[in-house]
Amino acid sequence: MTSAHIKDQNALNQRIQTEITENPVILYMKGDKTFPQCGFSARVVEILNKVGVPYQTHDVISDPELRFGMKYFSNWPTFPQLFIKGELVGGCDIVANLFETGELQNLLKEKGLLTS
Amino acid sequence: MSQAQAIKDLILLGIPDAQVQVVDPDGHHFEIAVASKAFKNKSLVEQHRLVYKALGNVFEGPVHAVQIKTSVINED
Repeated sequence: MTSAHIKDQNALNQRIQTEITENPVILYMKGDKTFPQCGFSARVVEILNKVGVPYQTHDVISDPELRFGMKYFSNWPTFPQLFIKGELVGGCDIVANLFETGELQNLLKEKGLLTS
Repeated sequence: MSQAQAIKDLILLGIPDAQVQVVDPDGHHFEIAVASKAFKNKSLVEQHRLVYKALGNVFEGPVHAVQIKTSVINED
């Protein structure tokens, strides 16, 4: 899959920027909450469900332009990608790490996204 | 040269002082541990970005996914 897939990177960047601004917690993943299509994506879904924060997902499998152009936007080559308040928190490794240390929960509380 | 060795060499090219371990359980999912002074005062995302940058477009090939663990070398 070459970058020929990306008709207009600027338009794609704008589309992503809007989405991560409008959705305080959004996970770009393969599949969705009920049918994650990859172990790494499933792991982050599981973590977000445990933390209990409301979140949006975006299935990159059904959006090839985004799937191949996202890495130029976020400078991150793999999925899943978790964004909180417009910032990339990381992929599966980092989210799992932050969850185990409790930093993910603190970050969400700091941003007013987690009350409990 | 094994894929794991190729990954190790790529990282050392990008992060010369790095100590790198690459475990290859199934040929597609690689577990990479990288320790370097370059990670000092950097967030996890920035640390991992350095590793991804060093890896370049290795993801277009057989490497499907990598699990990265970074740590900071603090010696002055």
